[in-house]
Amino acid sequence: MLSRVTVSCFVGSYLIAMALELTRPMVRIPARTVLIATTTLLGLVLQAIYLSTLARTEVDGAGGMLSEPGLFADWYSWSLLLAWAVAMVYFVLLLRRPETTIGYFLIPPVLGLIFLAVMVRQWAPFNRAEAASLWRMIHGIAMLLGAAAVLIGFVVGLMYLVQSMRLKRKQPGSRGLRLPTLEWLQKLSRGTLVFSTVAVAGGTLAGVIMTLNAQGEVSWTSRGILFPVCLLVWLLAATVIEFFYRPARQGRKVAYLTLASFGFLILAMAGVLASGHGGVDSQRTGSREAAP
Amino acid sequence: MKVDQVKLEMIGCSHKNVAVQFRERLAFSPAECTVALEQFRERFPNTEVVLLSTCNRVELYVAAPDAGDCPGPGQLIQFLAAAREIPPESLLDRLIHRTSGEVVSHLFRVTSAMDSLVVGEAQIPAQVKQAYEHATAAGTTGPLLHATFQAASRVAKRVQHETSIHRRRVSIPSVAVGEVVPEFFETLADKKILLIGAGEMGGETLRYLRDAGAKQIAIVNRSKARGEELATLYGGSSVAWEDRLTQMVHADLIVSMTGSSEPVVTLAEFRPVHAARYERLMLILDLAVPRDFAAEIGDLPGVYLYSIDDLQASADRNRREREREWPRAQRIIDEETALFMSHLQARSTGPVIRQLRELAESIKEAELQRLMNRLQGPQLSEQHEAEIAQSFERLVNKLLHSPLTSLRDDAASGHRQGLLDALRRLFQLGD
Repeated sequence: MLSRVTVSCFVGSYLIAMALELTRPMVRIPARTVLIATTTLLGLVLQAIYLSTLARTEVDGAGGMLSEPGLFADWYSWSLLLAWAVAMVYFVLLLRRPETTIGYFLIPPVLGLIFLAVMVRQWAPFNRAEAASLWRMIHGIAMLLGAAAVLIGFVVGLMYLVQSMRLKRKQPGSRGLRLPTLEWLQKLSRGTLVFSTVAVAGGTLAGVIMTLNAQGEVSWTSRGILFPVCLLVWLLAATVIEFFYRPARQGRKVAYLTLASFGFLILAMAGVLASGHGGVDSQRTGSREAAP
Repeated sequence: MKVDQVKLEMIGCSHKNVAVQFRERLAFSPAECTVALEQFRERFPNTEVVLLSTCNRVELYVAAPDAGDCPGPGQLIQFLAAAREIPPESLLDRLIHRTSGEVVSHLFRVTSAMDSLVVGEAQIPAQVKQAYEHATAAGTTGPLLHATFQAASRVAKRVQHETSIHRRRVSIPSVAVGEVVPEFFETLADKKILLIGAGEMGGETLRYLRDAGAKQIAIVNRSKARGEELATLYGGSSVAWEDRLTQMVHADLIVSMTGSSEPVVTLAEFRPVHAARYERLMLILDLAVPRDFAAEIGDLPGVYLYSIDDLQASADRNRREREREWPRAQRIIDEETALFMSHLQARSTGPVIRQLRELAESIKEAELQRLMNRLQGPQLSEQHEAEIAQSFERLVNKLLHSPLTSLRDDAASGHRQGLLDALRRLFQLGD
């Protein structure tokens, strides 16, 4: 049944969301934002199902040879993935700022990218070796940015706690130790948490696609994969907590979340370094495997 | 005998030598000030006068181009006593008297806020300027006080630029808004501010908040009329006293300064507010004595409660730092006073030089005329006449050059050698 999901299904959902957005200045519709959010979410789910079906088909269809067409290795799937990412950004912003008409600006790019995908569907895909190389690069950059964001979040969280402690002890205006404002530190903590979650999620997804292209399967129990996935799970949980539990958006609680994220990052790094994941040997293995 | 043509006098009192009750009796309102200036002008028509009356000082500055026209300290005391209907004898021991360079030095110190209750306070330069403008509008100033007060304003600016005596905040509201708030918030433009209590300190705090960019200010006061008055004066909205807890739920910054003898907000009252805020950052500046907020409120997460004692330490520290700047500021005052007095004394030689030149000119003209009458005839050409006149002119200039140079040098050094008086007597120039 899931294989029956087509491009038309999620395009239809996005079009309904766009139509509802366009009616904002014209008619009052009760629970309009709920309807927009629901149809957008439906579009996201349908598109995700479509992409997973596409991935399964590509994996099943490919033989053991790395010269075969790769997974998510063509302009069609890249355009659809990008469209899904933009739609997800729209959905999150819609929940954050339901009163704004950001759909005017974000849904057209989503539809445009899907249209582009349809237009380039017939283009020949890259082979698995080339796809693995590309996704490895994306995986590396995204994980690097995610790790940097976690590290910065840790430092900012630490600064927040020091500043908060100083101000609770009534030591403002000290010219010896001057830190940024609590408001700024809090905003930056939240920003780094969200950014690191997105970057690590993107990096993990790219890593999975890379591994599937290179090896045909993912060894989930490997420490080099297990620990970064744990980091991702923690970051997702922290972001969800921050999003739905209002006190967690404030002050020290955000700082504690960023500090804990750093703990998970250390764990993930230890796992990766101990397993040789991403090391020279791993690269060589991938290269050998890539040989026809 | 030393002669000072120009005369400067100051008589008055300040927070340094008399109590506030006495200053209040001697203080002048703007309308009373106008009347007093006019009365002074009637009584001493050739004397310039400026009357400076603030909460911390009442001072009468007078100047006359001719020392003989300037009233002495006794007359000034009589005048002040009559203007305020106070027995003159009650003023005798309480007023300070300054003359000549001391007046200039004193005015420079006052305008530079070095003589203020709070050293470096920002209001006094404007108050001095207002007093000067008031006197100018009343027509009681002249070239001497113009020069003196304009120099005072310039010196105050120099002290401000070359020292940090004005830079440290020393009043409680200025420390609260200028030093504590910037540790918490990036900007006040988008913050909701609740002001509890609309007293005098409330007005000052509102001014600082406005200067810091605050736009959304709600004022809560037991007397709504006073709250509305303050809201109209400084901008903001007035809110009913009963709604204060509701307002706190949305506020980012609370400044409280009621005169209540009991806490205005107890911990039990604040708990529901805190719960409704979901621990959102809140800064409470409790500037009241006794305190308006229960101290335990400051222990709640996300709440930062500052009392007046917490701010006093910063204010004291800043005051000490200002005082450390005192010697540098005093050096500027001394230097500027010397320069100003040198210019002023040089001005006093002007009439004598003019008289001397007029005397020499009249003698020259008379002798020249006599000689021309004698030499009149065909052998005296126009060219010869011109050469004779030029010779007389050169003779007079050469004779006067050295004494006038010496006179100017003596004036610049404060008439130490008494050359001005000597010239008057030698050439019988009169006063």
